[in-house]
Amino acid sequence: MENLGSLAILLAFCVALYATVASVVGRVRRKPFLVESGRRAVYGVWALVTIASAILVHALLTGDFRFAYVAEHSNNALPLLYKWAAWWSGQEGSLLFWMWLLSSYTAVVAFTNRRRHRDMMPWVLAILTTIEIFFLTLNNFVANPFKLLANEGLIVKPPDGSGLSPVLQYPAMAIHPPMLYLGYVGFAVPFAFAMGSLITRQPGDSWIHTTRRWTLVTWLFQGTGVMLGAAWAYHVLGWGGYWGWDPVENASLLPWLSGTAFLHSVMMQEKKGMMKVWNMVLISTTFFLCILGTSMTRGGLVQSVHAFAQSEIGKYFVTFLAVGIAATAYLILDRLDYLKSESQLESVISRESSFLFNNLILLASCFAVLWGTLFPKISEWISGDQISLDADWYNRLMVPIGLFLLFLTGVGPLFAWRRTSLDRLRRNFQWPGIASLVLVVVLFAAGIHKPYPLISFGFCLFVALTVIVEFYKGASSIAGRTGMNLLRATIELTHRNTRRYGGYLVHMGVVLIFIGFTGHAFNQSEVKEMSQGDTMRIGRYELRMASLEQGENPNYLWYRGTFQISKDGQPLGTLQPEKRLFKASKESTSEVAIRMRPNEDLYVNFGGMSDDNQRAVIQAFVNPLVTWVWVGGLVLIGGTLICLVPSKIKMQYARTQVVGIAKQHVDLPAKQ
Amino acid sequence: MNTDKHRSDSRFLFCSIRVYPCSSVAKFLVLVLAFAGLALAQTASEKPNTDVRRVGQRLACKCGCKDSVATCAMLECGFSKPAKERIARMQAAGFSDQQIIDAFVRDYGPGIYLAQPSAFGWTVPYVAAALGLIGIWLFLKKYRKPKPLLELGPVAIDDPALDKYKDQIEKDLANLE
Amino acid sequence: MIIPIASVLAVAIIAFILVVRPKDLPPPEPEDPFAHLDERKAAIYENLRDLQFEYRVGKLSETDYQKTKQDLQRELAAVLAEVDRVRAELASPVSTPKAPPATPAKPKPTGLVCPSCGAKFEKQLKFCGECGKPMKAAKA
Repeated sequence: MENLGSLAILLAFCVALYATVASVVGRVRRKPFLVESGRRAVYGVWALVTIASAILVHALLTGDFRFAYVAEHSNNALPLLYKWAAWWSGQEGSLLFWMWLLSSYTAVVAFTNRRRHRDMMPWVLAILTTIEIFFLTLNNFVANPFKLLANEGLIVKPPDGSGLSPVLQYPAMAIHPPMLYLGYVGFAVPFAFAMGSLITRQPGDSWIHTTRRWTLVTWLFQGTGVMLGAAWAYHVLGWGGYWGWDPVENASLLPWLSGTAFLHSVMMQEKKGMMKVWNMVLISTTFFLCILGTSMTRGGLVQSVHAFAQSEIGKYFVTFLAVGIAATAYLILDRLDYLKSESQLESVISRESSFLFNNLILLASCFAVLWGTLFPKISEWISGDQISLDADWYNRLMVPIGLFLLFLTGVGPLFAWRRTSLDRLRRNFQWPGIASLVLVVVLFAAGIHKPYPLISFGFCLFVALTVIVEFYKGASSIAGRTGMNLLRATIELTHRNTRRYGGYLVHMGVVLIFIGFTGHAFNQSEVKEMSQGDTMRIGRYELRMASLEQGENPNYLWYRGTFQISKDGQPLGTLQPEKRLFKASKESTSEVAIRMRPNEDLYVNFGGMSDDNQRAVIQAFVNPLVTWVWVGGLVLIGGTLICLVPSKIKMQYARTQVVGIAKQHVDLPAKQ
Repeated sequence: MNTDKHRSDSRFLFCSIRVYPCSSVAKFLVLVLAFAGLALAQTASEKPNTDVRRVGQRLACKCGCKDSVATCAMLECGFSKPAKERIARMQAAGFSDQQIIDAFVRDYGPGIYLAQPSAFGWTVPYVAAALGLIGIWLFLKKYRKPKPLLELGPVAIDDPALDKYKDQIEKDLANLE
Repeated sequence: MIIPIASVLAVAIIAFILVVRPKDLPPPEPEDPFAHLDERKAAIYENLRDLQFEYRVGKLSETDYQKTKQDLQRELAAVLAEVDRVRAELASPVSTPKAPPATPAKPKPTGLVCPSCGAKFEKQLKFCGECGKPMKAAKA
């Protein structure tokens, strides 16, 4: 079986090479048979990689511990779900998983566009298969998942594997990496279409229309992956927070930020034919950040920032990034004439300008995160000193940028396309602005004196009001003309232009997330060693340890504290945090007990046992408003899904007729 | 077969997740308190305090996380906990910060020293943002349309060459919504 | 056992990739030389629709509305002019009716020989089977 697996990925490597060459040669020499053969090779790669993946998954599920990968990442006692999840839990497996996703995407692209874009498709497939070649190189020659364990030339099969890391044995962990990978891999498709359109100088923006939904879905996956990662950190790691500016977290955030910038600025191209160069730059940046993210997660950059250049697989990634970026930059510079803007800015006070600033801020935040992630390395190069950056450093840098972004989220929609007179703008600003100022004053009077939270709450209200006003005005206009009630009119309004109003919902989600972030400024925490009967106070809560138990099962030892919780003297029930020490891996995990409420979470973590092993070290946190981060995430996902629904209003317009393929009228879904 | 590498990989994976580079003020406080709690059994002078934290921040934790001794989030960390106790002992004995750091460098090699992040670190992103602003300004300058000279009129298509499309446009506009 | 499976797999894949019969070629989607102009046109109509809506909900002043509307109409006229130019170029030998909604008469395709790549065909084709360009004229 392992030989078949190795053969499959080796054959896939050759077939991918063939696909690239056949597509390019077939396209340049105009040989339709060669192009078709190249397209079939894409399916061939998918079939082969699927066979290889099936063999690896089969080995994981059946516990074939001759495979080094299986022995490293699975064991007999592991539940079936996590045996499956072990596919993407280690380096070799996750690179194969990456490759499988990429080959699936490529096959889908080849199939759905088999009759369209005849000029461009061979190039699109050539670019996608080039990326495939890179990952297949890694799969075959650097991180082969089909290596067997051997002792002095003899294949050995250990009776059991060392198992999956216990912290990864959490349901969200089974879907979090695939979500992120779907995002990382997905951005390859719009990138390939952008480059294909650039190479063949396609007239119009067909690459944008073809990949619009694709980009949005990919962006959604990426965002969901980031949110799931945060939720997992909060619920499993037991340090009371959800975001620690860890390089892996940063890596997943980077393409999301630049992808967000792309989603906005691409509207400028669709509406006005402007910013074509910039959009090319943005989609390429996003794609290469995805590759960088993969290399950070799987290529050793994260292992130690200092091992970046030394790690073998890191070198491959660096080479691929360098060559890819150079080629893309050359291509864009070479075709600047093709990317010439079709129109000009009518006014500086316009939606267009607000998009420029939105792009600036999103990219500035992206750059700041990237800079922070790489800074220890850069600093070592420049001054020879190692440094460490803590979350404080990031927060100092990112909080002002984030607040400005929040502000723009509210301001942008107040501008009209092309031009807005100052007078009208002032009128649009007036009421949300005043309401926000009132809120800030009230909060100040209520005792919140920190500047950032005040600003943040003010902006949150501002953005929320502008979004609500936008819905209200639109809905009442429809209600006035059709006699619908306001609720139905709102649904009708959203349905008529899903892209715009779905987008506003996404903004609303962002507001809710920022409300959650702001709560962070008011976190409280306490640590105490406790034995049965002890109490600790945190904020208005009192925790009394009713019992401290310990026990054991085949998998792990556990300690469990049972706490009776009361707030201002009112009993609120019990919480049971637990500590587990896994026997096989000698690793421990926390089962955090959280009492989630909209206003604040009470978060109790069993830190461990005291030195004399008599008392439990209990960490308690009161985290205000955290729930809104998750609610905001859900709203964001919902808004994005609405954006994907086709708008109800179809635009009827006379399509230009070409003799022989005449269509009288074509219904075109309305786009914003 | 490089099982060693595999091993370290998975260990690393574990470490990077368990030992989250956490902190932020609140979290930091927790940690300080956590260690305070853990050190209860020991003498008061060994409790981590701002002095210990100041020195600990300049020393890399060798437990596998990428944090400093002061910010390592692991409660029973095999490296940062004794290191903190040692810093406290040396401070109690009157050693200066530099002497303590030198002592650690002597024992663990120069790799343990973490320099202060220079101003360079946080200025660069702001400089980049400023450059972006200049870029926007240039963009606006380049693509800003000169003020149209013509007077406003209702649907006046000025160019006579384009006039013939007026009818069609009007018809299509009527179809809108 | 593994060797036959591996051989069958390799042969099957290679055969699948290399054996492409003429009837396997996906029928080409007709290439519409106006596609990108129609796209542009659609975008402008949408802009106009949005503009109307935003004006109605009071986001725009009357002056802004009129100015922007005029700009958009001018752009639309330019696109329509470009459509006419391309049409004239395409159908230079055969005259086509001018108004888009009217059904144009079907002109006789002239070529058995592709004007762009020179490939010969036995029957009349709308698009060249070799290069995909329209058979009536070289310009696409």
